[in-house]
Amino acid sequence: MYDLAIIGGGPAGYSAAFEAAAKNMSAILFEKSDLGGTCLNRGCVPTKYLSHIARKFSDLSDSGKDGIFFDALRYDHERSKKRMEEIVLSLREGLKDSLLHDKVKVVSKEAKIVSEGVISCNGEKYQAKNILIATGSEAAPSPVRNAHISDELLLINKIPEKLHVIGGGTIAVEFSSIFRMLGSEVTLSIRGDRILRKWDRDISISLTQSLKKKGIVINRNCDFSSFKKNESEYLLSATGRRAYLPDSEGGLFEVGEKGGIITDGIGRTKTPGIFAAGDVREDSPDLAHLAMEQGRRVVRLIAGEEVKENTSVIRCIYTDQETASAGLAEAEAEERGIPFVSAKQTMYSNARTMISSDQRGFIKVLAGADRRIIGAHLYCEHAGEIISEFALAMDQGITADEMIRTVRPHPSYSEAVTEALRILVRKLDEV
Amino acid sequence: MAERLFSKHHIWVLKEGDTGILGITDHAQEKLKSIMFVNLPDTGDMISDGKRFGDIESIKTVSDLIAPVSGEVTEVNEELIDSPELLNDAPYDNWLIKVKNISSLEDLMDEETYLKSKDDP
Repeated sequence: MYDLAIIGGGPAGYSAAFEAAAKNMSAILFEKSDLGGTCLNRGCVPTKYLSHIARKFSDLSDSGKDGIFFDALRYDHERSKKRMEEIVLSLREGLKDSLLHDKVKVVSKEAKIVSEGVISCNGEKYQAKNILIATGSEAAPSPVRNAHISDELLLINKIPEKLHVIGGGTIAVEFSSIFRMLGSEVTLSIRGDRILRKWDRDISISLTQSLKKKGIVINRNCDFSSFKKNESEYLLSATGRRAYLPDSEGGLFEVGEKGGIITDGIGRTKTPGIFAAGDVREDSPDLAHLAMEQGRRVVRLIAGEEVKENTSVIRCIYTDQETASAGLAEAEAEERGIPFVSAKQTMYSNARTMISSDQRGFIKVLAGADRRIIGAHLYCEHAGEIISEFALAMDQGITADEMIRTVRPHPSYSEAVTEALRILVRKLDEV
Repeated sequence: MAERLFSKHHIWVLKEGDTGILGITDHAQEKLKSIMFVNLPDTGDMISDGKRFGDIESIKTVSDLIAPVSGEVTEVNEELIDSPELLNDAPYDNWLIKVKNISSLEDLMDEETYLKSKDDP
């Protein structure tokens, strides 16, 4: 009898396994495919590698202005893909070793939940006091025929000459940007009026501009029912993710409208002893770091510890410059009737930005009536790193006045945080 | 030809029938110096008299655009997205947005009054 049986070896699953091991709980993990899940094998890791390479290639193509010249710059996608696979393999092996080291039993076959506390797999029965469903998600079905999904695009050996992306969310935006920078002619078709509708408006506008500047054609308000695929293009449908449910006897958990498992905030399903974490949850924003934390929280709950739920959720987009967001956006605060003050600092006068990329960027921060930080939206170099400071402030209820006291290094991108806070404090004083 | 009217927040309004054409004044572009980026509303958005409807980024600062009237945005000057510097070059020839069903222009100033008012401390 195991303390915990986990179905799914992605971020939610393996994080739960490590947490269980750290608490001396016996754990067994079932993963029918590759350890690491979508994140390591088909998502975060390979995509961010390509994003990094695309940036490098683009920067090198432009290095003449910094006095760096070379005879011929060329990109070999086959070679880069090999490197990508090396990285993924190395991380996967490391994960396998760590699980082994922590004495987590790993079964590489598909599991089925038979009943409370009972799992069958490959003809054998396993018993566990608790079951955690962490089976993740897959690409949402395409609204048009003959389209590929992001998993497949990551496997190709040659950069497509023409890429047509359908979708207006982060995956669509990232792939459009990456492949344009690597040489494809890119068209992006969206159903609505604007890309990234769920994001802060300035971010949506900035990224639209950035994509357009790269030469990406954006078609808005598209009706996909009459869509005709152009023969010469590689068609990618990136319209979101859909929960991937485990094989199980009926009635053990409820499934919501979007197809995900319904749970409470911590991850309990309607059946005691059966939990869910990560993308498989109905309320999931499809973020690996949140999936990891959800996996850990379930284990803390099982271990009888107090579980704190409310922490800021950071979201990032990796195009050439990073985007990062946490907390409330202005539109959201307005809708919910939450009074706020917002301040935006541009990066034009940030020394570190001028030194490196000289690109337009901004840091926007929101504070509530009590002067506490309630939102941050960044489009600038290293946004994905700088955002953590804001998440810390929000989680700890830190005010603008407290946050501004930190003396950030010079020259740095994060200095712009101090500048944004100065504007914010001044605006708060005016209210 | 209708006369241009001005708000204390340095926005001019030119009325064309039921539609108002909005832009920034020369005083505004001078104070901003090099304009790098313009954030404007979408067509179909509502703007509200006295409320922020967008902003202009210059090298040194971000300045909110305060609406001098209320109404519905019918057109946005897309040229400014690629060439924001046009606002520095010719602020009266490069409009920001066009707005329909605009509210009263009663509180706005004529050019002479505006020029005098901005010189006042």
